[in-house]
Amino acid sequence: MIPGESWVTSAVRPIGATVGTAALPVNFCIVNSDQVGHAHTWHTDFAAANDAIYPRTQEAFSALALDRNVWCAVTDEEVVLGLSYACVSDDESEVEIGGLMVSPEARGKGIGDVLMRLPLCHFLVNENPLAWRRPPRIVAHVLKGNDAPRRIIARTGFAHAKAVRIPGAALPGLRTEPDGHVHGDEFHLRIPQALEEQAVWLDGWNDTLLDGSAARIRLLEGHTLPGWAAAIRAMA
Amino acid sequence: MTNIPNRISAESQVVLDFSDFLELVKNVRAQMAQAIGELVSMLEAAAASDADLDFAGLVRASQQLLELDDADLARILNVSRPTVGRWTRGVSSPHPLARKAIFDALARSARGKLKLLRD
Repeated sequence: MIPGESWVTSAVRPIGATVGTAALPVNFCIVNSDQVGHAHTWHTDFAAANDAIYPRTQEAFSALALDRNVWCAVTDEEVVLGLSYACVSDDESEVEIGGLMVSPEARGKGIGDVLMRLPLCHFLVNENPLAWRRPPRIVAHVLKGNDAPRRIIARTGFAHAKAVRIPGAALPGLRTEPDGHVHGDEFHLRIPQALEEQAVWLDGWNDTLLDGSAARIRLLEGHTLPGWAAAIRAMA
Repeated sequence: MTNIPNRISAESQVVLDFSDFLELVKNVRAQMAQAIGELVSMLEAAAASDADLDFAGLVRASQQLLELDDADLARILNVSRPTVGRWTRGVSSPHPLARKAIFDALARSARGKLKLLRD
């Protein structure tokens, strides 16, 4: 973890730049305003290669990212390896941890786990949702056929809540079933069990991914992951 | 331009005299510096204390005195812009164990602004 922003530069590299599987340092941070266009291009290319991932329009993605809801995993050269987001619904009844995407060539390092847990823990610590007058549901959604995130979602502490069906016309470009709907699943965070699980993960973080790559998480100066763990334990 | 004070110089040339206005600016800056100085003290006290406090009020006061919009504050505090909105509306607030770093960051911004006012 480093407190400064020195590695978050405005350098923009071609999004298609290939990433070797060598143990490159990976940085996790909130996408900042000068990275939004770059991140959306990556998001679009990624969604285009998979008909079970919901691609957002440039306008929708930019709004989400300019509001600093989107997290990224990037190399020191700003090559995007993965994205995710935490977003609260307009009526503040639901928080979605979603949009999880990890480059196929960067998989197996545990980047997806970090990209699910970080926005979740960051939200828990900064908004203490269990203390709201009406605590929001914390949810994740996955479309049928998109199997890569399911184990990550389960490991993060979400349990299957219900199947969801969305009219195909509402999600153009996605795989529809014979009933004309896109099928998927909704998962809910298990409270309070999942809180302790996040705390254990935060306490065990050792700045290293599964393949030995160095990993740096950008936090507000004065925040630490063990500090987050203590706060999350205190919520349970 | 009837509101601009002037006086006639010895050479009968009209010279615009801003001395009253400059005095006003000086006083406003001094008051601003005093308010921000008090804000720094309150943020330091908040950072050093576990006591319950009006988090939304302190963030709103910081935002107004430091002239920061939600997006500015979100960037400084490494949170989302809607998070700042929920803080200032009193819908949510950081867990008490996570607040010190936020007050410290606000105090740093406030000291920066104070320095500009006093330079």
